[in-house]
Amino acid sequence: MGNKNYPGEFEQMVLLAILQLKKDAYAPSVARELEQSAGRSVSRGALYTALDRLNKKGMVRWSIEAATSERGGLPKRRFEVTGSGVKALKDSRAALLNLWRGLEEELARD
Amino acid sequence: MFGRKTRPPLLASALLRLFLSEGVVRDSILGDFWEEHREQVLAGSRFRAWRWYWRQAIGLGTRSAVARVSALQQDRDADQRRGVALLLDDLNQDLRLAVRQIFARPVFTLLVVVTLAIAIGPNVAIFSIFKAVVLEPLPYPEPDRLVHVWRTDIANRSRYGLTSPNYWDYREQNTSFEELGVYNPYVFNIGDGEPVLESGVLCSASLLRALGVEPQIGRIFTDEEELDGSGRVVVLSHQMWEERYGSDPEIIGENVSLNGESHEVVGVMPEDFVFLSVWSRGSSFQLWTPYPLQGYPGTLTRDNSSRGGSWLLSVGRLRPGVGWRAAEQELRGIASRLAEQYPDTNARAQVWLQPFALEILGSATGRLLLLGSTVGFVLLIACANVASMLLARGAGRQSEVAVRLALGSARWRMIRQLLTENLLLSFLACGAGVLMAVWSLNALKGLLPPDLPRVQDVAIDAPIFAFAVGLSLLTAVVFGLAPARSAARTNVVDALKEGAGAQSGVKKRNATLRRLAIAQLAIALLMTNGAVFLFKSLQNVLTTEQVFDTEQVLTAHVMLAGGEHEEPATRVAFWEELVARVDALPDVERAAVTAQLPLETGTYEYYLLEGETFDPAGERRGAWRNFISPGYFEAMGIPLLAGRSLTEEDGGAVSIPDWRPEDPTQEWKVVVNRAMAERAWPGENPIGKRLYSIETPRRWVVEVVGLVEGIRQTGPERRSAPEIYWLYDANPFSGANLVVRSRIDPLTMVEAIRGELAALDPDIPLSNIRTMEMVLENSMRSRYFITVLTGLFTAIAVLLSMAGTYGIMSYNVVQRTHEIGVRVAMGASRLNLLTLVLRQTLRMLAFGVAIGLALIINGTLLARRFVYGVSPFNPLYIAAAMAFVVAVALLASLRPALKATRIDPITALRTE
Repeated sequence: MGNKNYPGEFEQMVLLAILQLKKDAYAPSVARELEQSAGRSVSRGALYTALDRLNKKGMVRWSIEAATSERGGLPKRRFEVTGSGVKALKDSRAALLNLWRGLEEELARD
Repeated sequence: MFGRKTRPPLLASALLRLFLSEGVVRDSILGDFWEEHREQVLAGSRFRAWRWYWRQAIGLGTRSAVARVSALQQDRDADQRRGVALLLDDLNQDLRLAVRQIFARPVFTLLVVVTLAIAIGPNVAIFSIFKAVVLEPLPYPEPDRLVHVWRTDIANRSRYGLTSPNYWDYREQNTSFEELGVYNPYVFNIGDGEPVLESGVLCSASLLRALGVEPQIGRIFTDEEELDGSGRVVVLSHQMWEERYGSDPEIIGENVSLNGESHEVVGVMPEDFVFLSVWSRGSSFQLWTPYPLQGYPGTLTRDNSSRGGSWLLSVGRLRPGVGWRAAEQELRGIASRLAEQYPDTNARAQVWLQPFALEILGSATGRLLLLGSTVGFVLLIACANVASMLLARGAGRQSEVAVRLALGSARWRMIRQLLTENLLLSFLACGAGVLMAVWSLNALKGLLPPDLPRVQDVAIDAPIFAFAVGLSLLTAVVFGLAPARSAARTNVVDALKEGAGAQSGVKKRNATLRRLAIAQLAIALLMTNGAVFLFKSLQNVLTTEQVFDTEQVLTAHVMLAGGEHEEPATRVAFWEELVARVDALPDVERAAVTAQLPLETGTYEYYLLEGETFDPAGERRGAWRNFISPGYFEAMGIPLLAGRSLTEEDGGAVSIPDWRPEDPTQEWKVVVNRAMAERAWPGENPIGKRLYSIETPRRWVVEVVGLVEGIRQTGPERRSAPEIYWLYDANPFSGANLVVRSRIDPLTMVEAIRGELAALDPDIPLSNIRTMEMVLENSMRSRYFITVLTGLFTAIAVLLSMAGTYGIMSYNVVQRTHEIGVRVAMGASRLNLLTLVLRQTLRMLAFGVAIGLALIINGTLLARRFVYGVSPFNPLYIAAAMAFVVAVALLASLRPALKATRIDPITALRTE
């Protein structure tokens, strides 16, 4: 593909949140991270859709952890960013930085 | 330990389970939801957790349902590798075929669409109300941190306001609240120009800070303005700024006259700011001004002698991370310290916190859920109805399906074709239903009870439209399931060999049809039963004796303030003069003023009987208190049972501005009601008895001179409670209700009365003009709302199930034409044939009624709180509902049955 497949803005935020959380990234903690760090309240519908899409793009993978009683005996899905996910993030950052080059001063005015 | 309480809402998790694809991913998502719900419950708010769960479940469920429907097309594809183009082509074909099918049978299509639309329409309309009133977050930042603070008795939970000195102690000693404010709704004469009366709020500066809404222009007032007594400032609503001051940006710093006092405008609230008050949920408040330090009502005093009464509504904002239960614990600690310090007033005072959203929306939620389940049932019946129509039509298409199958068409392809048709029908119905909802919403808004908050926000907007689309998708699945299964089971050989004859597929189909009819009848019975009980309850309320006269009595609100009306004595003189002038009008039989009208609550006061001493820790006796002018009982039509009414001679020049008589030895004369006499002196003559205030030194002593019949103080469905009537000299109110009994239509008197008022003071408006009939009706609006809508939806449901029964029986007769022909040929009489058909209806009815009764027994729990004056298990009314449903079903089968009797055996036998 000629075009690089950049993740969307929300997808990037989800990827970054997962990286921030390291070993503790599962959907509720990702949502909390997004709410606390990015000040963005996240509907679970949007979050699970994004995680699903990132998984299909190969940018995240998940593994199942054992059930606990706090979860009504239901399993827990822990997320991890894959190598291609990290690469996509770096690419998109680099692209943005390129685009920003020389504009800081201009946009700082006002 | 928390097992049951932390379980997520059953229905919502079932929905989620239904919408997500089975597997470990679904289980983990359900686990996530479980965990987050549990955390929120443990953080203190079950309601908030419940709402969160529902909202997220609906959001995720809808997304996933949409994704799955589009995936359905792909998954069923035998060759997964087929390109998107091919798929689109297929879809296009399906769609075109579906459109052709639908327009080939316009009458059938119309029937299906109308059936679904009259069920989808009410669902959309009710949901739009539910969303605006209940689901939308309250219009304040982080509304979950807002709580209502009540004072309550230590023995039971009752809602009293706070007293001012207690409020100061709670406010200054707590660490849980970021802000703790108090307020009271109040009415204001707005001067400068045409005098009008507007609802406003007296509040502490901390209250507006607690709500956390920034003004659009200017500022809110400060603690200093509230405390130094110079607080003649006001914050206006956006609406008032726009309508009265033409959105003048220069308004800040201008003066407006409120109750005769000049107030400086310091701010204007933003357009979307709504002030929600627990005791006047439907009111729209137009201005906010600080409590004056001096004067009535309710100064924010720290004077310990004011710890007894309670008049301040209190709302606070919790610090981040503090749960309301923890805050309640802290305030209770303060309350018990105060109880030790001031046992006389505080021994029985306890604090009770409620999340603000629950306090404001609690009662609306129950009523709307009742209506929501009613329209849900209508939709179920409609689905069953459409399912049977499709099944019956499926029988006709059997050969077509079989031919296509024989020609090599894939079975899933046939099902997909049917699903496409269903979806198309469903979306057509969705469009019609939304149109219906838009059209009926205005009528519906007119029915909404006045205590429902935020009804001005009810609208059919994008989320509602999404809900309608989701509902149609769900509907298509529900009504399409049985027909699709039936089509999928078509046996090619049988279908081609025997045409429309009797084979195993038909038997199964008929069984399904019967089950659908039974389900419809059961639901129709449940709803009819509910409607019968609600109508009986409404009738009970309407025929309940209200004691006061509803005809010929007019009432209007008058508010005196400012200037010469500051003096209590001149206020009494003003009322006397006003009553005398109105009394002198031709056609007026009697005029009077009263602090409180029947049905609209009022104020409450504790008392002691003769010989009793005050025990701060003991149970207290209380009564409503009202202040009236001498002619009140005659004007309102309240019968005097014993003794005499109050007269001007019972008053005197003494006035008690804030309940502190100059001379506590003076005895006031009062009239009590029947409930008071029965409570205080059972079996004795109340005339001549004395009552005392609970405080030492005594604030008042009264002697009972009359006994009247009791009116209902808190609503037409509530019992009459003890009440004490004082002469208005005892508490020269500034706002009062004029009560006028006339010999002619009371509404024609308004201009004359207004003239008399203007002659006394042209700046005082006559507002809230109603007949007592209207006062009564207003208090019943909520019941009308529930009853009329439930009745309407039940009527739709009964009509639909009647049509359903008719359709199934007609289909049945057509199918049995051959059999009936044989029977006639063998000598069966017309009566035999009639019973043959009706017997089948009766068999379905037996099942339907049995299931319906089981539903009634379970459903009564929800309906119980709406039933008045009749037991929800009253067998007579259950029997009436049953008889009605049986009659309707038999009536619906009559025509098909008669048709069966007219079958000509020759023609019938030839049909094979």
